[in-house]
Amino acid sequence: MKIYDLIVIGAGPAGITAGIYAKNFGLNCLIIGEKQGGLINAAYKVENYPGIFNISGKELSKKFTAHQRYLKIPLKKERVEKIERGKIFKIISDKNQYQSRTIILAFGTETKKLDIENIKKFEGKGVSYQAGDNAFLVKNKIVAVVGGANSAVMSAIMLAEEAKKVYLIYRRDKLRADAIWVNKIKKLKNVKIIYKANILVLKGKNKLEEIILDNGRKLKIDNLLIEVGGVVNTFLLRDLGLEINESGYIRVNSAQATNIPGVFAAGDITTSSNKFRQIITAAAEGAIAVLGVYNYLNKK
Amino acid sequence: MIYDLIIIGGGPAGISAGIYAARKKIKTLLITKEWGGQMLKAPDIQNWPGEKSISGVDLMKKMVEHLKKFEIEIKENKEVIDLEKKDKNFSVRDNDQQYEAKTVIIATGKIPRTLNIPGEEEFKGRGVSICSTCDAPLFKNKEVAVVGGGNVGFDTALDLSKYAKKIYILEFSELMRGDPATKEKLEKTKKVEFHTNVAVKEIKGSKFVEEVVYEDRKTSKDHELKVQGVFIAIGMVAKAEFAGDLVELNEIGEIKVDRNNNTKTLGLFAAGDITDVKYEQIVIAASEGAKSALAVVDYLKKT
Repeated sequence: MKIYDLIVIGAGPAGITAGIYAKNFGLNCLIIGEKQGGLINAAYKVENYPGIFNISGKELSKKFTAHQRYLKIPLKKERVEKIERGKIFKIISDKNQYQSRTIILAFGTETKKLDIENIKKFEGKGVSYQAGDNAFLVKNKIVAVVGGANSAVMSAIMLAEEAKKVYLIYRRDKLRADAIWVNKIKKLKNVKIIYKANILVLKGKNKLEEIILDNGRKLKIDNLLIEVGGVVNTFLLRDLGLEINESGYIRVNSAQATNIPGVFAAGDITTSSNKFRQIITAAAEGAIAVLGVYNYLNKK
Repeated sequence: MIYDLIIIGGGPAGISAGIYAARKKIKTLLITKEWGGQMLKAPDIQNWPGEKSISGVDLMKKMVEHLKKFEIEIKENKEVIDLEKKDKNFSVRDNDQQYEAKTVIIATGKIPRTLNIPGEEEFKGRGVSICSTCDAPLFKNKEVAVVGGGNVGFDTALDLSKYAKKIYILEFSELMRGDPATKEKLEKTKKVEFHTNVAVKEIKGSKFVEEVVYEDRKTSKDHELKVQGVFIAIGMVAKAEFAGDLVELNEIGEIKVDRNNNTKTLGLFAAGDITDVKYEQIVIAASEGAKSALAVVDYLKKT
């Protein structure tokens, strides 16, 4: 069986950039990823990827794919199910088996799935999972944010600067965010907090228009931001014996190396880049991880 | 008027910091001598994710255009000459005015190292160059010297070998420092002469460069080479003197930062090639800029 220098698991910004840099360094590299572009596909608009003022997540994702194809970087749309440690790593997907000297884990996080009717249909059409810094895309619009922790409350505050009205919908009877944010949001006149409620159904023609809550209320809105946090798919990691933090994110050093020699990690799945988890930081981590791989292979 | 943030530098790190800061709606001023920094020298970038192939100049234009879509104050063609901390705030002086800010990001990158010999400054643009990707075609069928026998010098010579008739590589130390694989390529062109143990002393000419004078360090004897061009390829240097004691430098003059872009002074951040972050890549510099701006936002909230 062919032995790769590097197998990158994940095809989001971190994984694709790792592939680009591996190509640069002349490494024999394969990317395995189920979803090209990763989480950026779910972003309604991206305005902070340097060089592009305004682009939909799907379009940006296409640009990454085009780049990967242009450089002829091999990519398999498969799901990795098992990684076995050894002198050479063995990667088992739902369809094939591969061998590689090094691995970069870059399969990111998944947004916690909320059981809402039609949620898939409106992703990118009013429903966004992106952190709430899309503030000026909601000018004079009515927006709902789901969640009650810091990220949700901060996003709601930021959105309220531009939006006509913001609903903050939380399943408990008290917000979980820091007091400073809770105090701040309670002072905002255009924010309405709805406690002890969950969204049941999304409605709309071509884009989101209305949500129905489990308390029977119906709200007309333009945008819905889901801020209930990401989850790492940790089952692959536990078997490997990787060091992860309490939330399941992989601990890496400044060269994106994990505690296991030959295994690197990049992007949202890690604790790096101050946990800011941006497209540009994920891409940079992918590049740094390959530089780490390159040095590792040269030393062996 | 007190800015929330002043960004010093207009390369990928500074521009990306500006985009992030402006989107977070903090009152920001960006001061830069020029746009783009080192990437301007790259004729064909293929590792900026999302762009299959783009010149450094075009990528710079796209980034600047992106930045200018936002509400951000910009001072172009200005060089910062002094940075001080007064009480809680920073005072930033350029060759024109003085500004005050709660936080500062230094992203001034690196500039090419100079030889500091007679003729170097005088013949700049008249035979003396630091950019082979920009200037190599000007030396068609001419004889040129490349000062520096490291990888930068080798790459410079490789660019020149497509045009020049004869190339002398002049290296100060006893051995060429560049990759053997590149050296082989250069040897194959049969145009390159390698000289080690030489100290370049002077660049001479009337209107344009006519010769370069070097000392053979073994014999202490001076030699002259008739050349029409001198390419200085002795690497880059970080210049952070304007920040004085507010930053700690490593042995090669780079600003020491922690993983979250903090310098030793509270409220003062640094990003990109000016820092001791090892990798000098556009995507990494841009990411460092974004990280530092987001760190500034967090810092402002806390204070």
